[in-house]
Amino acid sequence: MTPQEENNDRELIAMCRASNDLGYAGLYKKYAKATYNSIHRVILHTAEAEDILQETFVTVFKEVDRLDHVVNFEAWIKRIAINKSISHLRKRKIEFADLGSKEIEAGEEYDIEENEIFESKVEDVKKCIAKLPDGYRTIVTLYLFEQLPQEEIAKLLGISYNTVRTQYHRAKKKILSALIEKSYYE
Amino acid sequence: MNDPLKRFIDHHRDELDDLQPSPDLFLKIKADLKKDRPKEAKIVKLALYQKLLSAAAVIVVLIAGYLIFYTYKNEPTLKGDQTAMDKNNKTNVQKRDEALSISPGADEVSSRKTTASNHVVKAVVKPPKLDVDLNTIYKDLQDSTSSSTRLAAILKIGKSGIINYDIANRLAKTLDNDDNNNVRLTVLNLLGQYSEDSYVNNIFLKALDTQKDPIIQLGLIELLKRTDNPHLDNRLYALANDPNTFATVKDQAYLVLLNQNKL
Repeated sequence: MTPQEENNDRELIAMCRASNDLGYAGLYKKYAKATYNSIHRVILHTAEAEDILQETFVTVFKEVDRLDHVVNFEAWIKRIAINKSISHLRKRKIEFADLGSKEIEAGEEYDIEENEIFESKVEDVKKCIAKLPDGYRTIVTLYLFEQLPQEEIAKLLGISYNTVRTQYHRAKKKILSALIEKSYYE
Repeated sequence: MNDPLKRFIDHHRDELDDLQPSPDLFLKIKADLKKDRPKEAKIVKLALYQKLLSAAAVIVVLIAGYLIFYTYKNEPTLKGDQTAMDKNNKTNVQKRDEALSISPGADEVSSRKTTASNHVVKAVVKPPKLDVDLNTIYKDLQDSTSSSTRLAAILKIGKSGIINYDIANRLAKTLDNDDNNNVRLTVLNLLGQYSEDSYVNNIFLKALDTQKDPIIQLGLIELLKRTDNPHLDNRLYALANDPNTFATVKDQAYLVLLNQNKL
């Protein structure tokens, strides 16, 4: 985030605190799309993702007085959205399996070259990620899209760092295999 | 970074963020926010209402007490005083008539019906005060050498409570052409008191086309959105699509259209 964007956010937040609709509309216009995509990648359900987006913005706007201490509004709203999405998955009885102290082989080799994945279509990669089981998909989303460190993902999901690391590598292998398979048949 | 998948995602980030939430979601968020606000407003209103009632009751008791005491005390001389009061009233009425004759058509504006809502605008004309020299005020309003003189002239018009087409037109000119921000804002503030009148409403609508000051444009939008002028939507679209319009003004124009489900 550039200092200018930060200033702009500060102005919008100040307008929200003065109950000026322009502040709310400005922040929504700026961050709704990216936040919605982050939620949708975890939830994979349009109506539920919109409900969570709505809840997220209502939470943020209701606590507008606390926004003074927020340095990066985008990161903050996305973190609230991600937390709500994970709670929503838990309500769906989805558990993030902890592999505990089992022997884990994480650093597996992939039989795909970098140029091969760069030849893949964005739509195919999206589909492959969407087809992953919920637990894998959440880890992939948080690590690749939200760029959270694996240690932080472990804390967020209440599982060990090793589990996150292993599940990410397994998920990645699944995605790459699916992409190779797809390119083979095309 | 030795992760081709991560690099791929970073490289195609914008294409991967391609979904859009429903357009009406912001309205739902606003409705959710409003749910909490009225409760507080109601409590404040109730408290204020009770306080006002108590104050009104005390004032009524005091006035009634004073009137009873005064009537009782002056009963024998009431006739003489009544004659004097009649004389005073006559003089006041004469003076008031003279003042009204200075501003012919003072109540023309108030008697017009608003085109948008088809109802007669109420109480546009405040009781005019005496000693209003409109010619001097008009002269001061055109004094290009001193913004404070123009400002004082506008304030005098406001204080007098007089408004007619001539005054409204002169104020509209000042709103459009005056170089001084404070003068323009004061005019907007004064004319804003009559924004429900169709004539003043149309002045605002025209000013929205010609006005270049974003602060005045925001003020005009704020005043116009409260009325049901059928031409407002087109003007707001034009303003929002004009590349020279200030970003905040564009946002406000979109917001008004969005709130009225016109997008």
